[in-house]
Amino acid sequence: MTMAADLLSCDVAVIGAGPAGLAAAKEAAAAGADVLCLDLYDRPGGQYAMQPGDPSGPLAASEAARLGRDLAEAARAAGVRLLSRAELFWAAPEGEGFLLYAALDGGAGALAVRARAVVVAAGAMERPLPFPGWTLPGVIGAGAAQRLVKSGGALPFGGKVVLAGTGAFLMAVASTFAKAGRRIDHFVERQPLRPLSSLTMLAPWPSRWSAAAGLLADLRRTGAQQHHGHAVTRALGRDRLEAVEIAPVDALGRPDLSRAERIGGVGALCIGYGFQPVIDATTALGADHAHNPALGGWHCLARPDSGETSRPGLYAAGETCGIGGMRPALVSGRIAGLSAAARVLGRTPDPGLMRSLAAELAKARRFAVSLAAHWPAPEAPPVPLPEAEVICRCEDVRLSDIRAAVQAGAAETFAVKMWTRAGMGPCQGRVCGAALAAALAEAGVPPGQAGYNRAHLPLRPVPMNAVHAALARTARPDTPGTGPA
Amino acid sequence: MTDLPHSADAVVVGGGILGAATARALARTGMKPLLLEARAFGGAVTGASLAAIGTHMHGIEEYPLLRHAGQLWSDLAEATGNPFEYNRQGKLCYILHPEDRAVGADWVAREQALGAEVALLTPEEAREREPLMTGPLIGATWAPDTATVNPFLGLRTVLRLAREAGATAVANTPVTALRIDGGRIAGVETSCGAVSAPHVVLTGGPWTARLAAMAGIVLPIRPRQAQCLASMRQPPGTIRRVISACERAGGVDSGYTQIQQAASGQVLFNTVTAPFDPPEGAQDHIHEVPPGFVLESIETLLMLFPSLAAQPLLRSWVRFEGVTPDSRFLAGSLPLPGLHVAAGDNGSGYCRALMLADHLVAAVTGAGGLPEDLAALAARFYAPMRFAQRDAA
Amino acid sequence: MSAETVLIRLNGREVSAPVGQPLAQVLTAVDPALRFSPKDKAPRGMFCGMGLCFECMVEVDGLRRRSCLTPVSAGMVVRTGEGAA
Ligand SMILES: Cc1cc2nc3c(=O)[nH]c(=O)nc-3n(C[C@H](O)[C@H](O)[C@H](O)COP(=O)(O)OP(=O)(O)OC[C@H]3O[C@@H](n4cnc5c(N)ncnc54)[C@H](O)[C@@H]3O)c2cc1C
Ligand SMILES: Cc1cc2nc3c(=O)[nH]c(=O)nc-3n(C[C@H](O)[C@H](O)[C@H](O)COP(=O)(O)OP(=O)(O)OC[C@H]3O[C@@H](n4cnc5c(N)ncnc54)[C@H](O)[C@@H]3O)c2cc1C
Ligand code: FES
Repeated sequence: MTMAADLLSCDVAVIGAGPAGLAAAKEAAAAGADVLCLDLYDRPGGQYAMQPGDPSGPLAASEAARLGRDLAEAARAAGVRLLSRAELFWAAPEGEGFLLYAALDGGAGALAVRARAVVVAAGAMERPLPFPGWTLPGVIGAGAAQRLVKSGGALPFGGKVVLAGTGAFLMAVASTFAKAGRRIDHFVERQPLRPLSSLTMLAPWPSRWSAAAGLLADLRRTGAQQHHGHAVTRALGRDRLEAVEIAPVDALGRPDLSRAERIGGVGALCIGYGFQPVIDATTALGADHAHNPALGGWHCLARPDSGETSRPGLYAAGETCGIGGMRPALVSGRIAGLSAAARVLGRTPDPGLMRSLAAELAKARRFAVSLAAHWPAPEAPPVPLPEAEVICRCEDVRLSDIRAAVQAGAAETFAVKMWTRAGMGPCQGRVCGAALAAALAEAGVPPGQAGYNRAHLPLRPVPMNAVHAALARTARPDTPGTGPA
Repeated sequence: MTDLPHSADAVVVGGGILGAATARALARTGMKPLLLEARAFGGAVTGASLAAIGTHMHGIEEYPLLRHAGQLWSDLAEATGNPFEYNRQGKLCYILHPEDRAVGADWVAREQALGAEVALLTPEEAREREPLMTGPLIGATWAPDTATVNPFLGLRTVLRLAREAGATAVANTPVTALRIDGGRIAGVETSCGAVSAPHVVLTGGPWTARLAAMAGIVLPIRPRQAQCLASMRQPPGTIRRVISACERAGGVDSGYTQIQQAASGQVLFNTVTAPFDPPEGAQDHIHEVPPGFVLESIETLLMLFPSLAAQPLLRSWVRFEGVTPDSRFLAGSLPLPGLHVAAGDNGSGYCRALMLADHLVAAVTGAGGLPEDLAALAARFYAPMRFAQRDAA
Repeated sequence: MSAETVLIRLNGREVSAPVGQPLAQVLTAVDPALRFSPKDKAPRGMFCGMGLCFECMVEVDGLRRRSCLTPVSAGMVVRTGEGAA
């Protein structure tokens, strides 16, 4: 237990260096606050604006990579201390402010931070929906595939590449593959091709036309055989993925299993059915959350004109507050950064500026909402699941276990967790949450009532000596815990 | 999901291990009890428990009752094919300071006099039983009769047996009022309707005082914060026994530690040194563990098991146990005919649950219950009347 | 990629890998099964690729790490499968 940790102080701590977090950090620093921004990854940028592993490769010139570089540079120029490979794992209120604890470099080091205000901009993650065979090695998220290609090199799986699921994001992934010169063998989109309604959807947004055309061209460039109106119904293989079964879906999205066809020799199935907000830090700090399928399910509630959550001094921005893409993330980040700085500096933010930012945010969210309506993310697993399918990957909990819990009286996610251990593993229920909600919905409990698996500290597993080193900087045995939440 | 019946032979309020065990014990006498749980079965204290079952260092006067309580769990494991990971791995209480050795020796001598197989160990003997405990102990006490169970699976098993014996159990149904008619209990009201019953048993854990207050009875059960940490899975055999601190020469307040490895592989551990008074209604909210508690717990764990330093901490949780001023359960009838209680656990109620449930059968039915010699001791030791008073109002 | 290649020790074997690349990428190319699930002992590989599912946990120099977040560095000692996570 010899590890030592630093203790840093700041006015505003920003969690996450994606578009939202970087914008928040820059605005807060430019307003005069002392700002520290922590991010888990190697380089700032988050998801959309992730910096490619090869700074001279073809992806480095993309609009997204440039945005990330520019935002990080602007933040640094404004005086923000940017810390990469720093993962928030514990947070507690302290007086009017907060104590934050982070693991450095995957737990090789640790850090304590005393902050007067906190902006959580933890972004989004894939919202995994199980299907038969989804636990086989070789089945990965569409976002995982994009990150692998961005970080450099080919997908590390031999065999064919299948990109499947639904949503505009699949096109973005295909585009990344095309720009990196990587092939995709099959593209499987649950929605049928709908050129007319796509045009209608895009008509009011001329600024997006060229991007949309570019995405279509990129998809063609990957060489993928396209299967619109199809869904993956099964992943097959012994110890790793070998084949994928796809079938056409009807107007309600139900696959016709009698017309399933098999794609053999598959090495990687990259599958994505939409995103969900990352809310572990905001739930653990006791902010209010709400459920809305159009925003990716459970999301942190933040006032649109200030970014403040129900917990004074705690702000949230970007996709933590609901899925919407990069543009709303940027604007909500600016709003939260300005408000957080104003709070700690004892000022009121310029009301004219805040009003115009709030209007800009509303407009950016409108586009996101129409895109989400065009590509509705399925709420339930897209294929009927066998009883023996694993739902909670961390604890090997099967659908039959979950149905038994519901039968025995469980009527919320928390009860299912106590009964089955689903959600008790290292992912804290992030991965099984959507499937659990679907199983409860099947039993008549709407998702808003089923609740979510509230994260408990530590938010992410951290070596005990690192936890100790960080906490030892601020806490002694009589430090009280987080109050009612 | 089950519909709420309009009447029952007895209503048991609170679906933790005490309530489930009581419902089962009553059903086994041929009654049709109804178990009502406000939220999720076992979701409160029970599911958060370390669920060690044993007698060592719990108390000399209660010893025969605890031995019986442990035997009931062992019998249940055997009768059911042990679906709840009952594991009689024994308990080691480590001794760090020379002045505490006498305390440990005294416990051992007094329990030996009662027939227990306990022993005082040298550090080498302790390490034989717990190879990775390489910390600076100067000795340990050893009690081979201590077991652990998986707290959820234990609850699930008892609940299943209760239902099979004829009990009805309904979750998500908080009791909102007690019905009193002609000077005795007449049933309960719930968020989903009323149930009439000649008997009501309060097994509401830390909420029991609030339930009793519905009948105008003041019970001195206060919530006390308890917490636990869990590591990520470790290889089987990383920690083989239940590890506790030997009682210190300074008295019981000077420390409480419990470390064990669950069948899942996770190392569960807690250390409590400075109990503090939670605010009113604290048990109604979800709390996070105080950082200071985390520090102390990790320090103790790594002092004893230094090789775990780089292993990841996975989770922490807080619950509120119901405690009484003298740290003994309240179990038996209350001063309102038909109303009974089993609560106030001082942090080791899992162990006693099956035994107390049998004890309550006698209170409710006037027959059966514990073996005769134990019944008298239980009636005296757990007497709720030692505190219960009629509210003046 | 033209990155410098270094040697790492994977389950007792020397493997060459581009420095800085996510370790999961290198491990998966050797075998996509990185570990086994706790109860069923079923093979599991990287899944989310962004540090949130913990399916890619392996042992690196004695620490349990998410290999999708761990950049390759020279001489790292990695254990996958049984014994890791
Ligand atoms: C895998 C993936 C790929 C995506 N690709 C695209 C795309 O190509 N095009 C597109 O338009 N949209 C994409 N999106 C949607 C994208 O999330 C948004 O457009 C945009 O990135 C949101 O910005 P943000 O700042 O809210 O969050 P993010 O960009 O997600 O940034 C959040 C940051 O917070 C960090 N973080 C989270 N928790 C912690 C913690 N506890 N401690 C420290 N740091 C933490 C994360 O590591 C991350 O860097 C993608 C989303 C995902 C999940
Ligand atoms: C960290 C920790 C470690 C522990 N370790 C051990 C150990 O090693 N050995 C041991 O023997 N014990 C241990 N204990 C203690 C043991 O777990 C408890 O004594 C036991 O679980 C208490 O059970 P219960 O049924 O009384 O309470 P609970 O499980 O709290 O059940 C009470 C139930 O009543 C319900 N309720 C409340 N109000 C109402 C209402 N109005 N209507 C309907 N229902 C209501 C609640 O929702 C709750 O489910 C530990 C406890 C903790 C927290
Ligand atoms: S693949 Fe999910 S954490 Fe690495």
